[in-house]
Amino acid sequence: MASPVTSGDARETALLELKKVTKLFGARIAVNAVSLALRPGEVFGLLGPNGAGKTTLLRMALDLLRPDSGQVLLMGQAPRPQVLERVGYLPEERGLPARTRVLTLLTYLGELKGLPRARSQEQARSLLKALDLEVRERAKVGELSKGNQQKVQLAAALMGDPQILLVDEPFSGLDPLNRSLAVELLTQRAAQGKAVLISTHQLQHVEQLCQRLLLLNRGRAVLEGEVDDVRRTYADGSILVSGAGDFASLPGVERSTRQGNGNQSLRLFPRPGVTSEAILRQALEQRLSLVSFSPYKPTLEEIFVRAVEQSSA
Amino acid sequence: MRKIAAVARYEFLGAVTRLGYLLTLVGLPAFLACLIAVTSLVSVRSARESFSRKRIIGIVDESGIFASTARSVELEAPRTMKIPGGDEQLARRIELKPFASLDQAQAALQRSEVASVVRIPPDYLSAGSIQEYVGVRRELDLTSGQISVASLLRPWLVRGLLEGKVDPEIATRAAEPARVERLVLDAQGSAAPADLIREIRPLVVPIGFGMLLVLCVFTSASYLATGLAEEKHNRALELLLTSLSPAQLFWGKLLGLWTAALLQFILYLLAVVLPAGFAFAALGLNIEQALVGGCYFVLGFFFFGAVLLTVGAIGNTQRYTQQLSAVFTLTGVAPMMVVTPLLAQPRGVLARTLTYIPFTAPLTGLLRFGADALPWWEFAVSLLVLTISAGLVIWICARIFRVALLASGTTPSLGQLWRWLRTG
Repeated sequence: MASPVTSGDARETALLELKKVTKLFGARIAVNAVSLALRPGEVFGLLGPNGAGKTTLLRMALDLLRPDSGQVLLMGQAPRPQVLERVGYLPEERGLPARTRVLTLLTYLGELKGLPRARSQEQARSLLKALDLEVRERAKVGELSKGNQQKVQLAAALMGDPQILLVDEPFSGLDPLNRSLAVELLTQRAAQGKAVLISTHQLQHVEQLCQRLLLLNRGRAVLEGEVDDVRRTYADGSILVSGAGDFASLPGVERSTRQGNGNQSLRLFPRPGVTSEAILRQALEQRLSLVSFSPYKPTLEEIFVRAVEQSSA
Repeated sequence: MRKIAAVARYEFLGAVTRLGYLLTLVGLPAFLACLIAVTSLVSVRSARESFSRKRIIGIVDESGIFASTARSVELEAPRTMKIPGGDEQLARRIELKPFASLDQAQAALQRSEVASVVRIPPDYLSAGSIQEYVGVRRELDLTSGQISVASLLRPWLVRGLLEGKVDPEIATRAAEPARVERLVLDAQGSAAPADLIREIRPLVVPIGFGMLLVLCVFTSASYLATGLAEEKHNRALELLLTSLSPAQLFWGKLLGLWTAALLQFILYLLAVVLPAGFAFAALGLNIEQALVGGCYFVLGFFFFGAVLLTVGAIGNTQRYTQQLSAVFTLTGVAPMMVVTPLLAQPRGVLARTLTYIPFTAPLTGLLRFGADALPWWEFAVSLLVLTISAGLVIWICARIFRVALLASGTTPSLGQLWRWLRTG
């Protein structure tokens, strides 16, 4: 029986659950008592600097590595080949045989996921079409561009229509157009009730796609929760304004910095004890022309840097 | 089973569509056939040309013993040559041409009027020495008709020495004392003239089987190692192992490449060995030989396949894997390196020992079987050894595989391998 995890008011069954898993390589602790629960229909971000233990965590989830302590549950069961059939994996390093033709390879991988040959070929064609690769189905993997190889790798992870998708840097090497194709495919899967775990350094995708995140540093979980909650937690009370006038000289403002592309926005840091409402009032009193006024939410990149620095200190 | 079959089919198709496999399968026999055809044609042509020319040897008899040197004589051809594929028998024509002096003979040699000059010195009778002069640049003739002057002249010298002193019949017999006819007595007590083909016939099929096995191991089985190393290196294995167990992957790979090797084996058998067998008036392939050869092929390939699979699993670079694979595959042909002592004593300690070592068992067993020196119980034991060894190697491979595939960058030490084996 799968363990329930609490998400707000809902109690949902976790498709993937890691319970205090620890992995040692010799004397080095690669992953230290990390827990994680991946729910149906959610896109989860696994973040961390290089060497934080993200890939080790994924490998434990896939039973490629066995944890030294802790437990891994896939759909409520210990990882076994029959259960793993329902997990799709996209490794960070491209790992497809260069000499094999695209359709042949995807059909083969689908068969390994338990699909009958004809069904597997049909699904491979459908995925290639969705990824705008149908004209390259007869090409050998090694003949494709880096971006197209990444798309084939993504298609390989999606073969067998897995319930759980573990994708390591899925957007690596993709141009914006193909990136949006990949994003669409992943969000579609989540909308169908599948769970998607994205391990990435490209934090803008986590902001765009993920509902929850886990930040690892030196094998430990240093930050976890809903993306919005995390951003709120790391908010420092500063205000983002755009418009015409000297906002920096308002009496309640201690200092300011330019923000955004083209510096069209200004980030205002209120003096201690001054609220954002007070700043707004001052701006209106001075008849400054306001286009927008909102509390500043730090980007995940800022949060990432701060959290890693704090945990390393 | 369905997954093993899927892996096997994928590996089989991957192997048989490789350029290297196709080149070995078609190119090698074609190359060998062309080479044999061209060299045979050139040899026959060269032999015909060589035999069509008369070989003239200049004789300078300073001893005065050989009265017949007053005139040119044609020697009886000491050796003939049969042209393959026909009844034509070529005989070398040799003429002895007398010269009055060594200077004249040497001048003729310089003008290439004679092939060589033989000087019989005045003290020949007491010293027994003669000299042969040849030109600095001579035509290289490797045909069987090219034999030494000493052999050519012996009957002529003997006749010359005895001429007029003994009965001509005795002189002839002294010149050529005996033509030995070799007869082989078989188990039924009937004697038949010795025949080289007949003598080597029992060995040809086993050696052929053995060489085919080695060739298949060298090609198809080595794909196991290099293919696995490549998949390990580019992390494709991680993707595969999320869908099937290491054991399923191993058996699938092994079966796929074994099928590719079997196809190669059968095609070689059909394209090369059987026609050659018929051409050489049936090499005597019987059901027993086919059975023994087949057993050793099947189990030998599984054993070597498993070994090379393990090599691929622990190897971290293609180069390392290829080097290590070559070492193991060479052990398979080791019996050929000791074939002389092995066949001299096919029931000896060396032969028996090599029969029970899994690396050398297939070829040794086949050679001993050909020499009619492999009892059935020894055959059965060697097959058992091969089976157990293959199973053991596959078990070891599957055990270390899970850890080995993630250990990239360095080549594992023996201690590390032992740890992997213990921890699985």
